[in-house]
Formats: sequence, C-alpha cells, structure tokens
Amino acid sequence: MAQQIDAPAEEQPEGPRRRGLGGSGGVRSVIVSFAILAIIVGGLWYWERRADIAIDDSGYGVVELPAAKNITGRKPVAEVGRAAPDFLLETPQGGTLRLSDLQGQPVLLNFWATWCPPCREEMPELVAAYKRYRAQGLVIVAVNLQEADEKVLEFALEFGLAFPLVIDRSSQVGEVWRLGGPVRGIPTSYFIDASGVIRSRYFGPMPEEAIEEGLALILPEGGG
Amino acid sequence: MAGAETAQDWSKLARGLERLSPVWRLLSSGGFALALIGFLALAGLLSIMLPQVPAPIRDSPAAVEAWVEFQRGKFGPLAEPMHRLGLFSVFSARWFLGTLVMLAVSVSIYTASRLPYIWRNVTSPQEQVPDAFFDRAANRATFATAEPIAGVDTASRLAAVLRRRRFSVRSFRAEGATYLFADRFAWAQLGSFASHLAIILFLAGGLISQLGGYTNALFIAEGTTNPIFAVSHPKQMQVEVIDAVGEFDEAGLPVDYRTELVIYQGGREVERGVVTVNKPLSYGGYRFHQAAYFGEGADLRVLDAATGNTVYREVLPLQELVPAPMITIRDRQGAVLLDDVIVPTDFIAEASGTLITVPEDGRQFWVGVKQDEDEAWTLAVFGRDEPEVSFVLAAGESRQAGGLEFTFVETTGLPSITTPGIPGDNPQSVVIMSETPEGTAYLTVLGAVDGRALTLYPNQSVQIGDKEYRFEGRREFAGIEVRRDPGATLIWVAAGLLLAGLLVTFYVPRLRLWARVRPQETVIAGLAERGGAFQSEAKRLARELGVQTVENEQEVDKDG
Repeated sequence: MAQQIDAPAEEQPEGPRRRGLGGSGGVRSVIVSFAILAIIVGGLWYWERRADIAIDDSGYGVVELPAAKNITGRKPVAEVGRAAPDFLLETPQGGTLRLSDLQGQPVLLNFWATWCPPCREEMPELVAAYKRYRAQGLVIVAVNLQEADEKVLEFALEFGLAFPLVIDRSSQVGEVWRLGGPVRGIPTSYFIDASGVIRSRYFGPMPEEAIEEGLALILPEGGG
Repeated sequence: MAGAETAQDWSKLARGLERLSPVWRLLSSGGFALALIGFLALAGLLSIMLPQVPAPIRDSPAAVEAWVEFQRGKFGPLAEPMHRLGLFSVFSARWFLGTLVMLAVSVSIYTASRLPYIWRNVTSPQEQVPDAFFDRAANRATFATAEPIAGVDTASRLAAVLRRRRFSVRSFRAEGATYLFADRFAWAQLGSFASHLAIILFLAGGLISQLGGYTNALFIAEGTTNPIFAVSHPKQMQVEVIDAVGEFDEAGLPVDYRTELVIYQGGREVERGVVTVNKPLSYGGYRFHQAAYFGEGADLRVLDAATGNTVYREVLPLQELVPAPMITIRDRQGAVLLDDVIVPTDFIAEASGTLITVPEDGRQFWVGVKQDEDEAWTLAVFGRDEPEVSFVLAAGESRQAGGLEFTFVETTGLPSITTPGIPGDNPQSVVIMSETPEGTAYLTVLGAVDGRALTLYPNQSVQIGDKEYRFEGRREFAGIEVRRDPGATLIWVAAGLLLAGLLVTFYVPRLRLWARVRPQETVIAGLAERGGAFQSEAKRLARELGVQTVENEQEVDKDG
C-alpha cells in the first residue's frame, strides 16, 4: 500500500527548528502566530484599561477666546505678553465663571489646592492683597486643582477667601496654563491686565512684595 | 492575474525573509534564549550586590546625582562609570530592558516557529505510514492475530478496544492487511505551546508593568487630603484619611495598622473603605494599600485675631525626638511634689532643659540633660536663687538638696519638629508634643514668639499680639501606597497558562499509535517516548484482546 508515504513527521530528522523563513506558507504561519499573540496581549491590555475612568466635566474647561477680546492678534498662550487663554469653570457654590468675562478688570489668577502647603502659606497674603485693592477693581481668581466642592468651601471659610473660586476638575485648564512646566508645581500665579494680556507670572508662594510688584503692572495708574 | 501577482509578492517576500534566516535561527534557538535568561539572572544578582537608586528619587536627576556622589565614598572613581552603565539602576537600565525585549522576541519566535508544525500535527496527523515503519519504529509490539470471534475480526476488535480506551480511530484496508491509526488527546501537544506562550506573557506583563506601572507613597494626616499625582493630571484622585489606627502589643510591637480612606475624583467621592496592609482598596485600576503608620502628629492652627481668618494650618509630623528628663521631686516628708517629663525649652551647648517651678514649694530650678563622653545621659540641676544647689545625677540616682529630694528616673525622647512658616518672630520654630500626667497631649512651641515658650493645650487659644495660636489636637498619619500595575493581569493569565500547560504536558496521557493487522501477525507501533506509556498501553490492548505479545520492544531508532 503505502510505500510512497513518508514516515511520521516526528520521526524525521529535520524538524521545524532548522527551517528558515523562506516559503510563503512559513511566512503566513508566523504572521498568524504573532497575530494570535497580539490578540491575546491586546485583549488583556483592553481588559486592564477598561477600569480607567474618565472625569466627566463636559462643557467646562478651556474655551476659545473671542477674537474681539484678543488685542494681541496672536493665539492665546500662558506666556507674558500674550493673551490669556480663556476658560469656563464651575464655582464650588454651583455657579460658573469665564475668565474673558472679567476683561476690563485686572486679574490675579492663582492656581492652588488645599493639600499644597505653600498654597496655604500664600493664601493669607492673597486675602490681604484682595482686601487692599478690591476697590480698585482687582479680581483674584483662585483656580483649585480637581478637588471636591466641600473641601474648597471649607478651606475658603477657614482662611476667609472672599474672592472668586473655581475648580478645574478635568485638569484641562491646568495643562493649558502650563502647570506642568517650565516650573512644575503650584502655587503659580499670573497677573493679567484689564485688556486680558498676561503681564507677569510667579512660581511658588508669593510674599507681599512679589504680589505688590505684580499688581503694579496691572492695576490702574496710581494703584499697586 | 491578480492571483499570480499575489503569489509573486509572497515569493518575493519569502526571498527577502530568507536572508534573515540566520537571525531567525539564532532567535528561535533554545540555547540563545537560555543564554539571555542566564544574563538576566546575572543582572539580577548584580542588583542585589550593588546598591540601587531608591525608587522615590529616580525621577529627580539632582537627587540621583547627590545619591551617586554619596556612593563615591564606597566605590571611589568607579561610582560615576558604574552609574553611567546603569549598574545602580539595573532594572531600568536600557541594556537590561533591551535584553528582556530580546528574550521576549526570542521566546516568541521560538514559539511561533513551532506552532504551525504542532498545529498541523494536531489537526492533520499522518494517518498512514509505510510498512517499514512497523519494522523499525521506536516502539512496537507484535502478537499473533487471533481468529475472528463471533464473526468479528481482530482489526475490528482492536479498533473497538482502542475507542474504549478513548482513542479516535481511523482504519484503512489494503491488500492482505488492515491499517489502523489511533490518536488519543492529540490536543495535549498544545500544552508545550501554552507553556511557551506563558513565558512570553510573563515577559510582556513585566515590560508593561515597568513601562506603564505607577507607584506613589503618600503620607497623609487624619483629616487631610493628598493627591496621587503631582500637580494636575487627567486621572487625578485625592485620598483623604478619615481615621488612621495603629494597634500595638504590650511590648510596643505593631499588631495592626488600618486606615479609613475616601477617594475623590473629579471633585466627587468615588470610593470609601478601610485599608490594611493586606487588604487594599481599589478604584479605577489603582490599588491603595496601607504601607505605614505614624502616631505623632500635631494639628497647629494660627488665626488672625482681628478677623478670625486662619493664617496657618498644618498637621505637623513630629518625627524628631528631643531628649527630656523624667524626674521626681519630693519634700522632706517624702511627699511627691513633681513627677513628670520636663519639656526642654532651652538648648545650651549640648544640654537641653528648662526652668521649672516646684509645685507647692515655689522655688525655681533649671534642670536639663546632656550626654557624657560614654553617651550616658546625666541630669544637671541648678537652683535659680540658690547657687549652692548645683549637682549632676546619673540615671536612677537621687540627691538631697535644698530640703528636696531630686530623682533622675530616665531620659525619654519627646516627639518634635523644627519647622518653618509658623507665624511669629522667627522663620523657624520648634514644636514639641508631650503629655500631662493625666495623659492629655499638649504642645510647646519655641521660637515663634521671642523669649517665650508657648504651651498649647487642646482647643485652648493663646493670643500673642495679633495672632491666636491653637493646638487642634493630636493626629495620626497613614502611609498609603498607591499602585497601578497594568501588567498584573497578564502575569496572572501567564501563571494560569503555565500551570495549565505543564499539567497538560505531564498528566494528560497523550498517545498516537499505528497498527497493522495481517492474518498471522498484528503489529502496533508508536513514536519514541520516555514515559513507558506505549508499553503499558500495548500490554493492556493485548490483554483486552486476549492475545499474547510475541515481541515487545522499545528502542531508539538510530535514524529518527
């Protein structure tokens, strides 16, 4: 019968180990093998990533600065001399605040969090500065990083913060305002003049002199 | 035409790949994989023998530089080249990760190159073999073919017995003989593939964890919150410690640490629970473990007296210890006038002490401790208005002076911290926590107000100028480790796969047989194997057929 039939493959001296890559069948089988592996690893990766939870803050965050409110004619960037990037954020009391709505007034924009010791150290100075220059139109906007409303309100009550507070829940505003660099960290403050242009910035807790110096650049003549 | 072009393309690709065959053969070689594993094991040994850059400072180049500078004292001029070679950070060194990737590729290729062959062998086995195979197979058993029983011939009976023995059987008739092919648990050949796949998944899991994993250690006081990422992050979460508990036995050894946590994300509470060392809390792919506990924290608050606004609020970890004497003072009758730990407020040279007023007596003495040359603590006592009262005691000693008996019981350490930022006259202050004899914790703040040591009892304000100082109470700290290990699932799957692969390989009785039944003689042949499964199966088949084996051999086919 089967004189023409080969011995079983396992009996053959030349197993798959010695084969090269030549032959389309070999290439196909290797591709299929890797595809199976990729599917397994990819599936497990997806299984792992399914737990990732995106923060739902739809509608709030960075918004486009209306052209009519950009006197620089250049794209808004968190740099001295450039138009301040606009944002719309919720206040812990349930309201909203849009930065560009404050144009016409000098703004001190401060990024902070209750868990940040230098921010806590700086707050009494901001409270005092606001008290001194509120009558001259100064607005301090304290942007809290991603904390719960109750925590922020509790802190505001304890430290006597009378200026507007907003919460950057998704970190979008913090990213655009470059809290990740050039100097990473908070507190970070920007001094924005009445026309919406950034005039100065300060990294770290500001002593009274630094606040006065920054305010001198944005407050109306005779102020600061 | 399109088909012909495709075939040409495949052929072209195959020719191109043929040039890579030497590389392919190297990567698919088991010896090369073993060499890589040996190299990685050696690297692991190096990481044990050489100091490694501590995890918390790896992201800070300045801190790493300082650490390497410190190593210079041990390794001299070799420290810098060793650092550049990654010998102080073996597991994150490029050469280590590169070797790991190469091992993964090697094992992948090793596995991939064998899979098509194994798959073919499982799904399309060679069912018919030449007659020569029955003469020179590694395993074979021969016995006399029995007469048909009740019209059923030996081939049919053998097939039936094999099927009972869980073989799938195919039969082929040819001139003068019936050939059978019997295969049992053919799929078990995939067991070795599963084991190889498991190794790949182990490596992939390790790489994913290394590249995408996250670990952060938080040190959080009760009632306060810490973020898990620095500054802001799209997945930022805050961890609030509601209650940190440390339980200790009578010897002071820790029995249990646990912490009640709340996790916030996007401004909302998303998870809450109690964590222990072995029972973490999980949320969003992150696990929160209890990693440490510290019981000596003080919640200090300073208010603007005029507005009532807080101007300073910190929970201070009192991680330093100041030496403080425990003394007893008795009067002539032996009545105890003072039995307490004396909180030091003056630091003179190497001595720390304070001026005390003896209760009911009214006289004042400066008492302090210092270490002598043998590092033994001694107590110094000076009478403020009595120059004749001046003496030194060793621990455990007593002395009569000025009508009083002073006993130096021992020196203890009081939790303290030297910290900046407390509103007052000086940039630095020292905060010490002690307890009244009744066990109430109180704070002594030195330096905040010139010339005064502020003693603050819980929830009692002390107003100095326009500032009001308050000790809000003792707080405990929890060390919480936040961990995300995206490769963990892969590693668990790999572990399961490896176990399954090994179980299948070693315990599933896989066997493949070929039989030739001729009128006088029946031969059963099998492939070479070491376990003796063929021999025992052949004996069982012969027994069930009711025949005697006339030839039963096992040999290694020199050709095969």
